[in-house]
Amino acid sequence: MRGRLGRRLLWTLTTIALMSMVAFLLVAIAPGDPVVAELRFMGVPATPNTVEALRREFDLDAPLPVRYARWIVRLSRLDLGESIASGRPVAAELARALPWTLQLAFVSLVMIVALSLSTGLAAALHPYGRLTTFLRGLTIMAISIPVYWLALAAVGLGAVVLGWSTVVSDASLGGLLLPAFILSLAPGLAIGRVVRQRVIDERLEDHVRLAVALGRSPAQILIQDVGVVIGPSLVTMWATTFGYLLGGAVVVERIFDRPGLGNLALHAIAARDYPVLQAYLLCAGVAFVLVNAAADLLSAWLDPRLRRSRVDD
Amino acid sequence: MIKTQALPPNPSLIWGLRLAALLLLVALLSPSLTPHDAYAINLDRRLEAPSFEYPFGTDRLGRCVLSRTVLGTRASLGLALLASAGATVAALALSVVAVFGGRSGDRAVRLLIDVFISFPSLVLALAFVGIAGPSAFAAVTAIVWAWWPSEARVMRSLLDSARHRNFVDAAFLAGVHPVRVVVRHILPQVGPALAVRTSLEMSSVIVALSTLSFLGLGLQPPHPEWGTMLNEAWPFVGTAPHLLFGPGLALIASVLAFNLIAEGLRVRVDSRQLQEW
Amino acid sequence: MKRRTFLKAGLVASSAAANCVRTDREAPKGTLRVGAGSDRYNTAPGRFTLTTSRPNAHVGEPPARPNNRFEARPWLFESWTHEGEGAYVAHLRPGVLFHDGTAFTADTFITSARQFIATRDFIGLDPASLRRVDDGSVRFRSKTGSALMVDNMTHPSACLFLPRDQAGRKPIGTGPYRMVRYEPQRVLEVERFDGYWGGQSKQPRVMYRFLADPQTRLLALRASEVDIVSDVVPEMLLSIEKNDPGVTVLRSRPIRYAALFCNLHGAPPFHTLRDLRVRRALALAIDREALARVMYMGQAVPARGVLPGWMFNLGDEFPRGFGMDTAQATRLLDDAGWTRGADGMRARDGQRLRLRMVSAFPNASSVKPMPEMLAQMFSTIGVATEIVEVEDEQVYYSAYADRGQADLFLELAGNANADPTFLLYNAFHTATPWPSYRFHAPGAEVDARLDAARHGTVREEIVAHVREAHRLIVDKHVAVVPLLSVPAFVLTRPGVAINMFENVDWIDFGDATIGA
Repeated sequence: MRGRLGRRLLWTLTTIALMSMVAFLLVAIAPGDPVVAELRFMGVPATPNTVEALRREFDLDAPLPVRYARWIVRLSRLDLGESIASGRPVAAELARALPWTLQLAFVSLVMIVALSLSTGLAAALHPYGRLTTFLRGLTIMAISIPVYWLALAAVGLGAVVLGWSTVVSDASLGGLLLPAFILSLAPGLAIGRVVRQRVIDERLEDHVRLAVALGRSPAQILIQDVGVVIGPSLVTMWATTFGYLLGGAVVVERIFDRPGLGNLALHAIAARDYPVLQAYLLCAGVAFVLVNAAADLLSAWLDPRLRRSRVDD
Repeated sequence: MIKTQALPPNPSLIWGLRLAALLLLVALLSPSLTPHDAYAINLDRRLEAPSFEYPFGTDRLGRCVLSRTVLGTRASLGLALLASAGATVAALALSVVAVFGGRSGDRAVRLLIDVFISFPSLVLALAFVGIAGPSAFAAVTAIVWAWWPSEARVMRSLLDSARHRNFVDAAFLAGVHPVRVVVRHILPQVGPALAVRTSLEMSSVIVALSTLSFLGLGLQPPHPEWGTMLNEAWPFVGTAPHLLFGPGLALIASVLAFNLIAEGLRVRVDSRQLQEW
Repeated sequence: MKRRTFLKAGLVASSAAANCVRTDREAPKGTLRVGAGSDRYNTAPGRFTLTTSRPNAHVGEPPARPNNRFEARPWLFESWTHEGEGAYVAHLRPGVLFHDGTAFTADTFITSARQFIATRDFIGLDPASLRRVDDGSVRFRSKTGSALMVDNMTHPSACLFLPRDQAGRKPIGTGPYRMVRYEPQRVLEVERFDGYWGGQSKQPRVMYRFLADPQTRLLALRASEVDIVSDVVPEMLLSIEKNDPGVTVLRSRPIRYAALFCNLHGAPPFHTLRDLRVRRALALAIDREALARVMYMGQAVPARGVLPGWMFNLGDEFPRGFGMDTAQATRLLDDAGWTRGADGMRARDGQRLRLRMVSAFPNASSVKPMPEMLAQMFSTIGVATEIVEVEDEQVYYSAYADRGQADLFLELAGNANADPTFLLYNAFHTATPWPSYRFHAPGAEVDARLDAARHGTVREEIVAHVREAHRLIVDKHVAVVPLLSVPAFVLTRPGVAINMFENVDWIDFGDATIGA
């Protein structure tokens, strides 16, 4: 287990290092000039002096490798630079926005787990019945509807029924439920189908039939025999949805007016605020990598068989 | 070598193909199919509910929503096709390098894929458009940029397992020309799974592209595109909800078509490894 | 079992996280709530705008503020004299206190001005020249010898704060309100400062909510979530009925211009407007009355120039502007050699007369559907128009304006500065510090006039030069085709009364009265 942990850690760190390079390069090769744009917004004439001064302040005048090195050094001190638009440290902006997005992602993940397990198990109990067909149709519909359309429709409905302000911009836990549900619907149902398939397949395996013969209760069988086998891959699938959640959060945050990472990124795009965009990309990427690494380790811990196998498969 | 036998009826595939064909037809013929001029502004008829004259109603500038939806098929599907093709080509090229480029080629490509796939797709696309500035070109490039890693990962492993079959090695050893090997031995193995994958990718790209447009980062006004139309509909969602119908229906139909095709093909292929939603 | 603990942990964690995020929708009773646009405050030194601009929360105050004619009127400066060649003596208002009790004296003014005024390029204050004359008077110089420096100090960015707060988290000023709470992108809350030199404001607390999306702001107003919407974009007006029971539209005198800037120095294929006759023809082909009827709830008026006559005492005689005279327009185009073809469109030497119009600054939504209406009007005199819509300001500049990649540039903007030369100099002088405007500079004659204005010493003289320059730019050179003069708007709930002003940043919402 320790070897696996070590290997995984090394792999994660390498990936993160390379990701930082990608995040840096993306911004470094950008067209357009954030400095001129910012000065224009401030109403300050973009004379050569002001532009040079601002460019120096944002470290945009040195050659590429030097800038990357400087950036990495600052990164190691957790200094992500300053936002061009607001002047505040980017790290502070991220720290302010992160809890909102994490809340949303977390609650959505919980809903995905609940939805996939409930629909999957229910369908597995009656594999060829009407419930399965209904769920299959529902799933196909759900994954065919863009998240933002669903959000718009929900907001519209909510606005008509409840009044706009109670639907949008609600900071409490209750205000999370609708956006989280919208995000979790498609993946929840889709993974539910996988759960159904896996449970059905697993039921036919020898060790389950043995358990039935030994007279164990269905619940016990489910958890100890079936669950242990399919658990790891399910955990991996749930972890993969985290990437989708980070992306979907952008749209949902915009529509529901939640000041999370997604909204921060959109503001940064409008203002061509490169430091913030860079940090956002890196932050989201690192979060995704960490979640996947954690899921990997979790599934390894759950499944004794995988513990001894290699990292790369 | 490949036995053909009577295949079971496949409603998903049939309906998916029919829907896709319909949409393609609409896209090709759209200018002649619009009941009104999709660009004509009419401030006296703003935000009207659906009627006989305007089956999908009018938008905030009095333009016919049905006409805009129909004309928008070209942009929405066309750009998606472009982006999807771009991502597939890029993924294919890199997979070929990985499979035929020896150990170092394989390692390099796998590393590249792993690094890029660690970014959530929409996040990567957003960052790209954020840097490049909003435009249709930027949106398409952003999608290619963000979607090729997941495609490449699947393609690489498919090509890899196909490449290392006994009969492929035999063919190479026998001196058969590499291209012939690819065409006669590798492609038939990989083809069906690839088709499923491409279909899923198409539906995912349609959604992603329209999401970028919805956020104002894709095709710029006044050209009709489903995502941009939904962006314009957003402020009126409580007062004029009919604005959601036209582009929404079109989007759902398009995505549904490709999802059905993928579903139908998957039933045929019956491949467990492709169980990604 | 693992699933259960996972779920439980999840519930605990999420409720903990929920408590970390404060609910800001509940405002204490008696708070005036203002819906502002996206939070664009900047806390970087040298670009500091926290609480001063969009919206101005009246936490800090400038040395002077614009009066009804956009001339500088005394504020923190009780009086000032320009002694010539950019040297000034100013007398500070007595009895002014900062929010923490510090007195506003020459010394505090000097330290504050060094940080907040000398860093503004457009004001041009020489920081080394700041001298204390006595406790209530100071001397300073303009770097460029300008006679208009105090006029430029009427800008919100010239608001003064105690320099102690380097982090920019809690600016301490002299204004009627002191900052209570600032959550970036969410809310800014201020409360009444009882030691204010101008007396007590009516509203004890004001809360500014940053609602980035325009329609969300409007809906918040309708739902009584806010009392006032300070940031009104023209497309919001499309959703407001004539006698809307839930929304009251307040408007100022016309201050913003909607105008077509002409590319006078374009390279082919954007060189058509180098010909004065074509520019004049375009200007005469426009039915401004029709535009005024359709746009902005009919609240705009046909414009004769880019500066309103009431500003700076400019008066209404200059420039003459353009009425609608399609016969004359047709004649001009015929004279210029553009002959009509069979389809009614003009061509010359095989080249069609086709112009590109970029719509718009700040964005296309703010001027719709003017481009289409203009294109229609131009086609009646045989000119084809290609409309390029741009929603993103950066794209407007980088792709089109900075490189002169169009013939006509549609703008909706305003001169919010008390310096009479500000707009005309920056938009029409060949040496303009705004690079994209060099395509609209008519040349030496206008330059000379604008230079004379900038170097004038007496205000009447300066205004006379500006008047003449304005006339040259519009009437003689047609460097810009004026369309409409548009008011500033503020939206309120019925029963809320405020003192409307052309520049929303100078409206003190704290003085609002809320009726029944």
